Amino acid sequence: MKQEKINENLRHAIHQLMCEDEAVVVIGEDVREPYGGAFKINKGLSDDFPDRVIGTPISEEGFVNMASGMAIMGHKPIVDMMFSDFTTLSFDPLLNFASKSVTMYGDKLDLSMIVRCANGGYRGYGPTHSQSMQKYFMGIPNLSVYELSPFHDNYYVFNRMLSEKNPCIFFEEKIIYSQYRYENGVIDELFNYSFKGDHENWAVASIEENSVPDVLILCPGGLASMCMKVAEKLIMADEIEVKVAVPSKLYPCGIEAIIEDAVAAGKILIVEEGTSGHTWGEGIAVKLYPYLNKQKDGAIELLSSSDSIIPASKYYESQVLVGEQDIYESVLKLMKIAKEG
Amino acid sequence: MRPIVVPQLNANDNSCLIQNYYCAEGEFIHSGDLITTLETSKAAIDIECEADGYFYPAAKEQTDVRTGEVIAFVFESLQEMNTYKELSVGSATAESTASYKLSNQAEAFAALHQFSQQELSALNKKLIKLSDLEELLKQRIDGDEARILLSKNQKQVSKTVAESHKNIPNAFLLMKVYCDEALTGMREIGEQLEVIVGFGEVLPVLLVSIKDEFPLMYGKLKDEDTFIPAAEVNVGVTIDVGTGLYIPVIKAEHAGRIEHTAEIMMEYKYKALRSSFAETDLMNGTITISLNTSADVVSVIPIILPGQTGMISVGAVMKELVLKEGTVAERSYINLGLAYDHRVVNGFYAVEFLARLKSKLEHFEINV
Repeated sequence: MKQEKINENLRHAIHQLMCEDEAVVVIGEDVREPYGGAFKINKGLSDDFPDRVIGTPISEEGFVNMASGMAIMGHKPIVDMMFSDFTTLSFDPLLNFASKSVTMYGDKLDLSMIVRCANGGYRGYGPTHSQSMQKYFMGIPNLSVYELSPFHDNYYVFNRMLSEKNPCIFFEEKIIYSQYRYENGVIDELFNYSFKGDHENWAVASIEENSVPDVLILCPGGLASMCMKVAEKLIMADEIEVKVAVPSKLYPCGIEAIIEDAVAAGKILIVEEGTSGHTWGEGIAVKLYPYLNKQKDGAIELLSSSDSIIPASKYYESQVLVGEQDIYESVLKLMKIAKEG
Repeated sequence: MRPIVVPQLNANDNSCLIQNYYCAEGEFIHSGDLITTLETSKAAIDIECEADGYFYPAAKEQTDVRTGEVIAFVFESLQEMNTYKELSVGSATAESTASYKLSNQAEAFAALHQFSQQELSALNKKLIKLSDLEELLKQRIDGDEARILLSKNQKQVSKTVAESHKNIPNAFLLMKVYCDEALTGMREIGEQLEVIVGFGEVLPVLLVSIKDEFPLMYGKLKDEDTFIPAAEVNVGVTIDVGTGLYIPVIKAEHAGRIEHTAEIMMEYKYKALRSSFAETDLMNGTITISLNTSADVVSVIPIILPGQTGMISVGAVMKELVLKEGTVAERSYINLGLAYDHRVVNGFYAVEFLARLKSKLEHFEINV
């Protein structure tokens, strides 16, 4: 069977949605042929749906406002935000217009829209094109935050977002676009995965599904494949067994589905690419603590990128962003803490 | 070669289950023939052949396949099919050899101990850790462990020793016996009889001689309240010439006289060498002597044979210096031990008994 790349899956998902539902439109800069979007996710789309792929000027505030208005009128816009760094320009329409409109007028309004954002670093794009912007959008009423993952099928995820009937922002880690998806429950020779929780929100990767791991790693989809590499290294080199749990929806994010694994492991590492301070992981950690604080060697470790702007030099960028070695060392640290009590 | 692929299913499913194939591998099928049925969460979809040709299944029955995945091929000729088959089977077996992975530590350990692929795959683990192999190695060692079966004789010894330790609460008394006089006497008797005479030959004679003074040392405890004195003194003597431990018994009619005990002991030593004791040689002991006269043996604590009250132990002859009328002289001694059934006699009685034997040895009066 031919393995599917993540960007192919994303492209097919949007294409499929447009086939099935005429309300779905794509809006953004350079989304039409011959460009097809900065990361080619919209490739070929304007050929197939010439009236429903809307190219815009450089005007994030304007076209997100426009998309919000179309959503109120019953369209289902999928906005292509070329780089997630630019979402600051659309913060006002998302916070003050789209998300509020859902419950601002007495009756609940259906407002299905998705803002897709190419997100994250590791490409040497510098401080203005490398940020992980997720945390700025968490905690806003009626706004859901999702992230692209190698586990979750995007057709399923996009349907889920549209069925929420409120604005959703979808972060897509740029470095995983060209990676292959994990399919049919298999990651590689060693690791399998299964979905847990409502809407299959959590993908949990493990060597043996029912075994008790030494450490449970939680991370959004962008760093999932990095965590899987580390998981393989840990088991092969150190015989440390980890499970990796990856949610599709980051906010609001229920943890019920992974509590059992978390309590069994006792030691939790939460990894994310965003800079430290008021992170997604902090919120998850607070939710997990009541379940772990009775445990003898229960511990939660948070790992984020440094409290720094992201340098353009690849070397200095690697010093700032979370890397494989950081994840590896954090797990060893957790094991050491547990050992020493 | 025409592939047959899983069609677009529905909005909910992107994979489905292949039911059984309706045609066999290599069968010539026609356009429109039913090949298999795919089962999604909501419906069953029949898959039909689109062109005439030879059928070859690419996916296994009862497995999940995804939209767009190839289920089967239809080949124009059997030759084409066989060529494809050879190529695909070759790559499949190459994949199946690695059904497990080893951690780095486990891999080094497996190389060191040369575990076979069969041993490793028999573990039935996706990931083999060091601890798994340590367990495997332990089983391997246990399997190869050398075994020595106990001899028939030793099994009997084992039973007796175990029974003694279980049932008889023994006490032990050790006494020094100066034996220059006895050694001289035994040597003289030996020269006279032209046999070797030692404590094994002499002690039975002495034991017979003091029997009436110490009836409780000869006989057995019947129950908590009753001791049955032995009618006669049959003296067992331990003999081990390397063929196993035997305790032949010098019967009462011979035990009282040194020329008889010497003769019988000689006979028993030969029998021990040939392991040719008769059942009767080993029966009906009343009291037993444990001989441990190899150089430098200080003493042994013997067991008490079930049905008896005591066992006497004789250690090696030792020498010491002594002041005799102001001059330093050499003196020989043995440690004479007595294990006794504390239910029957106490220390006072045992001391009296052993002191009596000591005195008999130190004032040696046995004659032919």
